Amino acid sequence: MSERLFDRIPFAKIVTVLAIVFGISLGLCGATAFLSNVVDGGGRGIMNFLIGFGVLEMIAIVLSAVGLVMTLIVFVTLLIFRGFSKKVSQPQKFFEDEDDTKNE
Amino acid sequence: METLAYASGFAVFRWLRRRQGDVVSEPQRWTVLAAAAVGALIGSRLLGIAEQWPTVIEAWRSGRLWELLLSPGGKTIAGGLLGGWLGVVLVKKLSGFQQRTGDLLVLPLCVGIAVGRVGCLVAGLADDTYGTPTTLPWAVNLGDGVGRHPVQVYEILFLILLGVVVSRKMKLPDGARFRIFMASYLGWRIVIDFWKPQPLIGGMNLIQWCCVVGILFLVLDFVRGGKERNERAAV
Repeated sequence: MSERLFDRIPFAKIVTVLAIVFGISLGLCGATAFLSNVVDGGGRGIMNFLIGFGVLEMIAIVLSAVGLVMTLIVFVTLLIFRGFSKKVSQPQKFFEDEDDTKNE
Repeated sequence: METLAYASGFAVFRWLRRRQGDVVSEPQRWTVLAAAAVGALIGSRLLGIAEQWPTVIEAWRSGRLWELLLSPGGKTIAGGLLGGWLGVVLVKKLSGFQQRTGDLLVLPLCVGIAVGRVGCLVAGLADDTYGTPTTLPWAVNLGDGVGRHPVQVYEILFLILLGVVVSRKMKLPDGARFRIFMASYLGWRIVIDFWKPQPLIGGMNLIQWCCVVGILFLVLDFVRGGKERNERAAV
């Protein structure tokens, strides 16, 4: 079950993308706060735009944070059930036992 | 600028990966990136807050620690690097994966950090990364009428130099470029942070102490690697 889920869902990719979205939206939020201080009183239109943009950033922050935590929980739980060291791309040695017996 | 830093770092990473290829398969690269990203987020935030330890103690005493943890700002590049590195080391240990994976990240990190530092300079005093006062001719006024060391510009210049040196075509073992980058950047932070007005513990701030630990870890890793190489040569 966990093996099939791992094959179907690219958890690592999702975690990376969500972490990047979270970081970017946090950064944009800071930039918006900075800009709103710079253009303070510079026009109602600009301020309305910045407030709208800030709300969008907040939504992105919350959604990416929740998504990140949930994906991480599922990812780590599945890893525990499946075993961390499974499916690592070490070369498989199908005939090593045969060689060992030959040496003996 | 933080956004631009992430975006430019990732763009350079993709370009390099297309150009040079990768030493690991795609799923493994994503696992390494996921571990690095999560580790960096946690490390950057934790060290960024802990750096201002008097504020943390104050928040702890007044029962406002959660408020402080959820407040904006308070992130540090050194914490991000160390956290990301620790995340990757941990995931590699758990999965038994031994291939060195950091070399491909060196140039993207140099570009990303340099772009981020432009943001630090633009943010000025609102950001906790400004320099101490100076009367040097290249001092910058960040809005309070005081001439300060442009520590962000110093760091951008250092990163350009480091990026050029580390990306030169030299025959180096796998992982060596990343270790050179980490040792240089952590060493640089130990020096440059003496020109930043942060709370000190034993003569250095918390970021500097963490950089010292990171360098010690690198030295231990180098010594262990040398022993393994000698043993292999003896066999």
